[in-house]
Parts: sequence; structure tokens; C-alpha cells
Amino acid sequence: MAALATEMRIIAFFKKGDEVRFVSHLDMQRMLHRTVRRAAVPIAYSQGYNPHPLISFATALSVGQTADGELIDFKMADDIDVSEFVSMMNEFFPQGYGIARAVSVSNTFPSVSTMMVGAIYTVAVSYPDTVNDETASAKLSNAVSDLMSGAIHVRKKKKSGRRMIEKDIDIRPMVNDVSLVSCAQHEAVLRVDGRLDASGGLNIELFVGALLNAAGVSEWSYLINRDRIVLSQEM
Amino acid sequence: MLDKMFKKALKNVEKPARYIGSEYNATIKSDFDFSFALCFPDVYEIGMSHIGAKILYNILNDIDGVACERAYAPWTDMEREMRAHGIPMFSLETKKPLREFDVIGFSLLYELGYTNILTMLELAGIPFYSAMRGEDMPLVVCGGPCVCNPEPIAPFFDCVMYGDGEELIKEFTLACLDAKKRGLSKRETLNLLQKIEGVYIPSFYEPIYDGDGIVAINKVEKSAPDRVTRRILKDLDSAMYIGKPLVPHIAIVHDRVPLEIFRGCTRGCRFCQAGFIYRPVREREMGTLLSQAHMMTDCTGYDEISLFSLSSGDYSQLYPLVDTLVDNFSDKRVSLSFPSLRIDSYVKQSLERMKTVRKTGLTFAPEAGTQRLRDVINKGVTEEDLLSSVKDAFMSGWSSVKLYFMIGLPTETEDDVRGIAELAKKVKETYYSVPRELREKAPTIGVSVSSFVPKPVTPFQWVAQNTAEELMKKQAIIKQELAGVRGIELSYHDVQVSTLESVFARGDRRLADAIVYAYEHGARFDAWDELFKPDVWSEAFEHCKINRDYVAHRDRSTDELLPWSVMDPVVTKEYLEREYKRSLVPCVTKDCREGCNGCFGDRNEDYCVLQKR
Repeated sequence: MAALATEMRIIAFFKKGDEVRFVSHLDMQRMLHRTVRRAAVPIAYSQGYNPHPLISFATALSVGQTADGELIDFKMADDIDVSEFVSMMNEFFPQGYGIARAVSVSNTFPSVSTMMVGAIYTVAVSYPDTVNDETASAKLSNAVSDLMSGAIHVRKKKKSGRRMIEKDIDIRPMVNDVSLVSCAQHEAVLRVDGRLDASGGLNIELFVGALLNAAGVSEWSYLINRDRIVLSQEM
Repeated sequence: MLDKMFKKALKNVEKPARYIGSEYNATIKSDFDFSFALCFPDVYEIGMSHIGAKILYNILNDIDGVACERAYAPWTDMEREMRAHGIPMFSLETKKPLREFDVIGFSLLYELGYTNILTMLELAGIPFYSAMRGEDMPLVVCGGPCVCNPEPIAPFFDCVMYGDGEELIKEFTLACLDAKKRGLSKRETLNLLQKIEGVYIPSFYEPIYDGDGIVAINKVEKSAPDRVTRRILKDLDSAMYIGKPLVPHIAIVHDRVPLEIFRGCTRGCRFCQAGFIYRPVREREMGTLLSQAHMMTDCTGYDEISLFSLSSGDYSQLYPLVDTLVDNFSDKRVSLSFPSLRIDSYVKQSLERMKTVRKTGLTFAPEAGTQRLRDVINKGVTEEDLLSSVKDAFMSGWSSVKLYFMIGLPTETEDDVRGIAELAKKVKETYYSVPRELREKAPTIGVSVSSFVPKPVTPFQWVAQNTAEELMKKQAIIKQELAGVRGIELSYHDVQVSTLESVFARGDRRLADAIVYAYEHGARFDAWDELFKPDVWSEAFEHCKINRDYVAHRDRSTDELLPWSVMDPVVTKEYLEREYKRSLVPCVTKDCREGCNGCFGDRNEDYCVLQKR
């Protein structure tokens, strides 16, 4: 790699809003590449035949989910004031995206993905008009106690060679805590504390599916937001 | 915020981001007097790649008081979800139901999207036939190359816009806005609109049929013009272009900055409709292009610019333009690509420079396998031209090329068909004639063979299309000739699709009923092999008593009244007929940059830009 003028990296806490919840991880990466070009921030590029900006997500977010604090690591080619970087980027994001805050670190700082230990999710479950708040609350809290008292078996689709196979797995070890926060106006809010590290983590979609199944209401719809990624040390 | 029901639907579809809107550079107006929904009857990735609609979007949103939004055909999974959840067809910008727009305008680029028009109308709660729509319904209009023969879909539309859209759409919209302010009825509005050059009102004309054919086209409205003249934008250079390009959330087919360097083509290939309906050739100045390129890359973040035209190698300033673009953009990490490269153009000089920027796939379009047949279609390219260009490419490090051919061209013999396979083999041999040290690996020669569809406003508008059986026989010959040949990959089109396309290209108004029938029996996205339902179409034609052989597989007399004869393409019938006769000799016609061939007849003075130079 050619010597860069700076060792600077910027780690940003990134928001993905409701308008763009259905954008995939790959498409979001492409969006970031275009945004840094529009904002003309001094980003570093990879070497090689098809150079690309050195931007990496700590972890991917599933299609359909929103998030308040995804971690993105930007490798800079030149020093830049962090607050200036944030305001330049925020000016050029498509609607629905934004950087809430960012910190500057040096090149020797560990990769943020190695610092991840967990993630906090908010799950908003919608129940139909025919179900009252008390019933919904009872169903969901019973299901939570049921699930948390033993193994949580889910069927996971997995690639085996070329074929997709389904496999039974227990995701209970990946769940630290679940609580029913509120249940009003046909919407129940659950908070889920799950494990997440560089090797993987709680599959929140499968967990919510299992929960609704246990409550006997698998047809209820839900939306997931990743509130924050928990790190081994505060940033 | 997205509506709850909408989110529920999007969880169940593939590529949900097709339907979310809010792309960077999208225009959202809250204060407007008039709304226009630009619709594209195919999926988002294809519709968003269409430059014409982007130009219209920019021009319409530039008008004070006018809000232009977009809508694309939902894929079958989304259509199912929309029906299940009662979601009406909506615009991407504000998720407004299409029915609430003042005008709904469809871009029609290929005939096989026609059933998707009906999907979009039905999901919007809008009756298919213009005659069934009352004063409370939006005006439903269309434009694009398909309207050279608008008849098969004419009963669905209140207005058809013929030709370049830049000035036409603006005049049309301003007239509609004026009519709305004055509280005019639909009929009064149409009367106003028909005065605009390029506007065709189908309900003002009535074809008189005799059996399978047409004997006359009567005017129902006395004040309607005898013929509707194709609108021609005289000054492309100063015309509005696409403005700040929309940046999609998902990868689309042409995901780069499109730089339209010129419109029209001077070559005169006789099979090519675009070559006739975009005449005359009009270029943009280099300075205009350079400033557009800067503006468009800066405001999108795109890292690729493509030079866009019917034949980019023919741009009069191509070499200096490429130099300038390379000088201006290589530091900005922006690369250049050419979508349609002509084998006899500046290829030799351009290749080296392109390679330094980005090595894209190379495509060559000899179209026919023998010189005789290339002369018939006026494809002024020789075998030596092709082989030497290919050799240059191979010498410069390319190892894969794609060759485009057609079968079913007029006067084609079995020898011509075999010639395709022979030419492909010669290209492969050329690869091995290149010194070993310059070759990277084994070559891949892609041979794409499509089936010729005679199109209106071409010299071949009178000729019979080969039947499906004839086309399959020809495909079999090529398959046999190339069986076991390594390094040559043959691909061809479904002949049923090509024959259907041919029916729509040259059929009359009675086809509209067949389109509705096929739609109601499940036809959708007919251009997509996996969804194409030939049996449904056969049933539809039978049910509506359409004689496909009469429409598609019959040589027509040049005296015959054609269904699209109200539409005046400005290129004269006499010229097309002369070209048709010359093709049968065969006799080639020179590029009109080398001298005028008189295609506009006595209107050459008015329209031809080259004449004035």
C-alpha cells in the first residue's frame, strides 16, 4: 500500500431509518461509496485494478431492519476534523441515513468488529384490532417466559455445498435478556439483548419468529430496530 | 414514513427496495397545481435505466406548479401483495395513488411490456379503455419508440406523443395545466391538445376494416389533423438534459452517468427502427458534454460515465472528447465506457485508451453472416473490418468478445445462416493468430442470435417475418454448425416471443382486445422468458379473431394502407420504399454524412441539420 498522509480512521455511529429499511447491506455499501464521493471527504482507496474506498461495517444489518447506531470504519487519506467529516457526510446522504456521532482513532486501534459483544434490539409487534391490549400482553409475556426457561429450537436455512439445507439449532444461548416494555394501541414493544461478535450472533428474525410462534400468533407482523451495538469498551 | 400495510407487503417480496422511492436527487414537491405520473411498464431496474424518462422527469419538475413523480410495474410478487393488502398503484416519490394524478404517462420502449400497462392501470383502479374513463379519471398518455405504430394500444390512451419529448412534453403539460385552470372538459382539453405538433388523439380517428385488413381511416373529429407529424427537437445542444441524475438504492441495468453525445444515426441500416425514427443526427458540443459530465458525477458520486448514442464511434469529435474526458476524470477515479461500439469506427485508436480506464466487454454487431446479406440490410461492414477490429482487441489483451447476429432477415438463405457460424469460427481463429505472449487464456466468443422483427418506419415494414418454424429451423442449423466447437457460446431468443413482438409492431387497433384478454388470463412481463405464456396469447388471438399470419408473416404491398399511416415519421414513404427496393438488388446506400440521400423529401430544408453545415 502506498504511504498515506495520515494514520487516521474515523469510526461513525450510523443511522438507517424507516424510509430505507428495505435496502440491503450490499446496496448500503454502494450508497456509502457514492456518498463519500459526493461529500468529497478525503477517504483512502484500496490499491489494485478496481480501487474502492476503504469503508467497513462492523457487522451487517438484515434487509427490513432499521438501526440507530451501526458502526462504520472509514480509513482516511488525509486528516480531517471529525465534526467537519460528520457534517459533510450528513449533507450528502440520501434521505433516511445519517451519522449521529463519530470518533477519530489511529491506525493501531483494533477493528471495531473485534470489540463487539452484543446488540440491543427493539421489536415492535402489531396486533390486530380484534385483540385487546391485555390479551396481547399476556400472550407475549407468557411466550417470553416459556422461551427463556429452556432451549429455543429454530430451523435455520443453511448452505451445504451447493444445496440449501434446514438445520435445527438452539438459539437460547444467544439471548441475554428479553423484556416486554409496553403494550398499547395495538403495538407491543419488546426489548431484546442478544449476543453479537465477529463470528456471529443472535438471529433476531428467527428469535421473533419463535416468540410469536410460542405465543400462537405467528401471523402478527413486526418491525425490528437495532438500537445499539454493545462494545467491550465504550467509545 | 412508510405505511404499515406497505411495510408488511414489502417483507414478502424480492428486492423490496424497488418500491421505496426516496432516491438521492429525487424531486418531491409539496406545492403544485398539476401532477404528472411518469410510468414505465417494466421493473424498476429497467425503467430507471431509461434516459428518455429521466429527461422528461427533469423538464416536468422544472416547470413551476408541476409535480412529476414516477411509477414502475410491480413484479408479480408485489402485484400479489398489492392485491392482497388492497394497496393501489402508487408513485415512488409520495406514495400517492396513481388515480389522483392529473396525467399518467407511459414510456413505451418495447411491445412486450404492453400487458404491464394494464397491470398498472388496474391496480390504480383506472379502466383500460379511454372510452370507459369519465371526467374524474386522469388523462392516460404515452410516448416512446413504440408509438410509431400506436394502434395496438391506441384504445387505452387518451393521447399519444410522437417524437422527441423535450419540447412536446412541456407544451402538452402547459396546455393541460391551462385547461385544468379553465375547468375544461376532457373533450375540450383533447381538442386543445391536438393542436400541438406530435400529439395524436386515437379517439379522433376510426379505422374501417375489411376482413383482416384496413381499407380506410376516417376522422371522427373534423378538426383533427390528417397526419400527426413526429416532433423533432432541432437544437439538442441547448435542450434540457436529465439534470441531477437520480441515484437508485439498488443496482440498476445502466448504473452510471449517461452522457448522451448525440441523437440519431446516419448509417441507415435497413432493419433498424431507431436509425429512422431518431433522424436527423444532432450532436451535443464537447463543452456542453464536459460540463454535464462534471455536474452529473459531482452530484451523484457515480464513478463511471458512459457515452450514450446509437453509434458512439460516429461522434464527430470522438477522439478529442475521449481525450478530454480521460484528462478530466482519471484523477477523480471516474472511468469511461462505450455501450455501442461500431467495428469500423475509431475503435483502433480508442481501444488503447479505454484499456487504461476500464476494460469492459467488447461487443460487435455484424448482424448477418455473409456480405451479400449485410448489403441487403445496409450494414456497411465487411468481414475484413470485423476481423481486423477483433484482432486489434485481442492484441490489446481482450480475450472475450460478443457478436450479435439476426436470423430471418429478408432474402436470407441457408448459406447466410451458415455464414453466422463460419464468421464466429473465423473470429476464434483470429484469436489464435495473435502471438501467444499477448494472449491471456482461451477465448470466449459469445454469439447472440436474435430473430428479425420487421418494424414500422423502416424499409422492411412491408416484409413478411419468418414463421416460428422457419426461425427454429435456422436456429437448429447454427446449433449444428457450432456443436462441439469450444470457446464459442451460442445464445438465441425464444422464437415465440419474437413472433408476438412482430404482431404488436405492425398490428392494428383490434389487438387491444387481445392484450386485455391475455392480461386477464395471466400474461405479464412477456419479455421475460420465465413468465412468457405463449398458450395464453394463442388463445387470446383466437378468441379475438386476430389472424397473426396476416399481421406478421405476410409480404405487404407498398400500396397497402398501413395501420399506422396517420403517424408521419417525417422520413418519407417514398424513401423507405426506395430503400426497400435497393435492398432486394442488393444495393448499399451510403452514410448520409457522406452526402444527402433525401430521406425527408421536400422537408429536408426544414429538418436536416447536416444539410446546413
